[in-house]
Amino acid sequence: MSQIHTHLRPWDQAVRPTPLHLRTSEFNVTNSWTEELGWTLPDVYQGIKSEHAALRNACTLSDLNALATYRLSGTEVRDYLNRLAGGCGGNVKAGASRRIAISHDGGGLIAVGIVLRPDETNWFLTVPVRCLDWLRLSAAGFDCTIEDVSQQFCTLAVEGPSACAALLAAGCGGLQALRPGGVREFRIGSAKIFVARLSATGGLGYEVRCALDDALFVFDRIYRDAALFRPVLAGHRARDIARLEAGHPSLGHDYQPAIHVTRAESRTVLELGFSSLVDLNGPAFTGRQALRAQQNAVSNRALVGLELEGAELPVSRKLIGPSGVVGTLTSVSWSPSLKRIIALADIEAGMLGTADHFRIPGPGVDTISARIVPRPFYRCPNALRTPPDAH
Amino acid sequence: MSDAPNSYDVAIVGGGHNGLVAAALLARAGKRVVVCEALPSLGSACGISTLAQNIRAPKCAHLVTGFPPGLIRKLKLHKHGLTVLQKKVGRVAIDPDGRHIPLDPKTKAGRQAIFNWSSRDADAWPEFSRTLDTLIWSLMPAYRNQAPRLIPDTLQSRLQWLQHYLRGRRRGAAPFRSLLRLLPSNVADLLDDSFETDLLKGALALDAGLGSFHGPSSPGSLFYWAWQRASEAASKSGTLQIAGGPAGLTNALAAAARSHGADIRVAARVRSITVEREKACGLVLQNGDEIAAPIIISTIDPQTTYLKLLCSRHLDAGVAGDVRNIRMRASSAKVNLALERLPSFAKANEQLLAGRLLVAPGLPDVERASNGQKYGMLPDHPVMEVTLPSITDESLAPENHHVLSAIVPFVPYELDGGWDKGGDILIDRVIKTLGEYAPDLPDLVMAGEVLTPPDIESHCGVARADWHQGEVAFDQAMMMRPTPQLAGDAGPIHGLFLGGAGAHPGGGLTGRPALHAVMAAVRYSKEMRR
Repeated sequence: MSQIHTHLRPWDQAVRPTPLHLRTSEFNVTNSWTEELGWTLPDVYQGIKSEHAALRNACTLSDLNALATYRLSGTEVRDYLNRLAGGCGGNVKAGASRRIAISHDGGGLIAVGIVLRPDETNWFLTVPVRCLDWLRLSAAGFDCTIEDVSQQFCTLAVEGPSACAALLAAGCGGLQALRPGGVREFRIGSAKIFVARLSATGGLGYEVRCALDDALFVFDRIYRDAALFRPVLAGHRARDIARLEAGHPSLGHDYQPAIHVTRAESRTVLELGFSSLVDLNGPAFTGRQALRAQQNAVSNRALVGLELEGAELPVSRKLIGPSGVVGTLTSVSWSPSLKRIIALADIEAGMLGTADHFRIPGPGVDTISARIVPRPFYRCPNALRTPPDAH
Repeated sequence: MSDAPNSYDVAIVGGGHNGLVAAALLARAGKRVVVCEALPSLGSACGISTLAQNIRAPKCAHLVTGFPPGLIRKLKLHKHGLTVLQKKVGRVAIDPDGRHIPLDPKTKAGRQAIFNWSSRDADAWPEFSRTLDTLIWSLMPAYRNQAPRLIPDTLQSRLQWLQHYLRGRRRGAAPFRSLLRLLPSNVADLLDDSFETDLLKGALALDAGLGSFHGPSSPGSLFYWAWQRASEAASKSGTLQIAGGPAGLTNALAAAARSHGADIRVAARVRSITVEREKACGLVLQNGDEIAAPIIISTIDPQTTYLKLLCSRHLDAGVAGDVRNIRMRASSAKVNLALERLPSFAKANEQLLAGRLLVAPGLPDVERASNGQKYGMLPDHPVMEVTLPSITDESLAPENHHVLSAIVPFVPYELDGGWDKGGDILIDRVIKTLGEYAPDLPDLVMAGEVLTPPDIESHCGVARADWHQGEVAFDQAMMMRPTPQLAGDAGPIHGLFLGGAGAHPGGGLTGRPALHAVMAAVRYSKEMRR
């Protein structure tokens, strides 16, 4: 008797290959895939442990095409970005980038994105969520045109302590002078690429962008020329663990885009710890009034970093404080770098300062003890050094 | 307060009746006030047209509905030239054969006139009037007062909501249930349930649809009607006829404001509102003049105020989007005719003709007339509200001559094929329709004018010819007017207040939006001083 499918199974979903799919599928020994923004991306290539180890100790290549990329043009792009993102989102010099927080009217965070400005005339915005409607709505009254160019570029990440050396070997001469956040154009063979020194995983890392037609060529050249550094392909899961170690809240896990959820389910930049991305005393921006009101009152929620005792992952996401359930674990993982379990938790803001030890139901009848620790969990000094240490 | 020549306590954008009410009240309270009107004359929709030598007609609005008598007394408008010729101007369903129906629920004549058509309808009339009254009086507290906040996040706003609920329940559970059932409903169903006489239903449906985009069958049309009737019932004098037309009211208001020292400027179009650190600080005029004022009251439509004068970059993106999406589409046309003598409506005396004559033969005719505008077409058989103001106002026309003023609803702002010939077609259709009621009327026309919706916008400054500056519907009324985020005095720019028809409680010559804005401005002024 045939089974009636009541929900979509992984095998029901059509593959939507990224420009690097030909290569990523070749390297994906586990044939384990995930879906992000509609793209089919490798989840685990060979093993999480080896991929994470390469990320922290050698060099990895990752497919970053699940980012929405928008090109901004016009005479008022800077003003537009200031209004869109925290009053300071447009303060980006040519040849630099900036992390920005895009908030909703009610202060809820839509996404944390990156503004890239490779030269005087070109502005790009990359965000991990599709929000063209919101960007265009925000552009009314500004001389700023927004175009979705997500399918015109290929993005890959080169990360790890040897990332700089690997790209130098591939032909990016002078890359070692690029400061954190810097953006510069290079040529690999006949292909034009621009490289931004950015990494969400907390270590040294570069995002490489090239035209769609050059995607495989650029990937092959980097992989071949960096062979000395033994580049490993890192999948989604390994990068997620590294991102958690770096203490970055992840969209879809630690918070939801405010344009997709109710006000109660959304979280603000203040609650998520992104207050450095907004300037409440600067120019007007969307959500400022709500954020100021929240700043003057008491935040309802707070995202905190937790360290859990032992090596057993909790079976429940409930965080129990002295007065009962006080929050939820939003991300939890064994950290290979720190050799302990770390987590991010969404808790009642009132708990901050009153309690820093919590319990979480563990396997069996035991509970796991957890304590609040400052973020990031893992710091890599090399991430900020210019030139970075050679490995 | 600075004593510089262009420095004021309050600057008012727009010299319509709301702007002048605000100016007169604030100047009377000792504030230094300036009013900036873009057009060369004051009054906006309350202007007056000269049709022929010594013959004048109310340009746009022809009656004053719901203007508070207390305001007339407070501003001593009689002393400043206001003469009220008629109070509680009644409505009459006009019939070509002379079986007219005065639509007054309280007089026996009205019931008798209905009885001449149908005894069943005459019996139903008192019950219908009571139902309509229930709707009107249940909305009255919300109409008269500042609407509570949409999200009751303070104790005060929660109490306001509770107060509204208890007022609604005061008459018992059955009327409350009926209220909840009827308010979102439509006019046509209520009329079909209540009456069988086409003329009665047509006249009431026309009355319900004046100033609305929707025909009587549209959901929510009953709310609009009840809201409009509440605006009339909120004033003890009901609908007024003023000597010289509604221009008489605005002239008196301007004189009252000037007598208290207000500076009223015409042909002074505002280019922008200046803002510093989220506080309004003045105006820049089109000619480059700058006016400094910590309080701005804008009586022009919310879209122009927030998106053009202020610029959307001072608003949150979602709020700016909501302002852009305010529906302003209920346009009407105006036809004014100079007549050699009073036209012969069958069996109608002057007293009857001095009222508001509702020209609509039946409910389907009103519905059909409302359909065309959705597709940019003129109504083939226009329905209209007609007045003959010269019957009681001798100043408008020489002896024996008369003027006829007709508001023709459901006329599109953008006409398919353009307005080049549309105005002539419309006036011909209006005269032809009126000729069916008064056969001699087409021959009596000495001169006439038609104000198409684009004309009303350019000549009277009424944006998109929508005298409500935004449709009055559930989602754009009360605490959601003009948008939920900008309702009341909760705007993002301190010191900027909306005081025009686009603000609560909406359009009509009531002066109430200006009253709310003045109260908010005074509160803000006190806060500033602290």
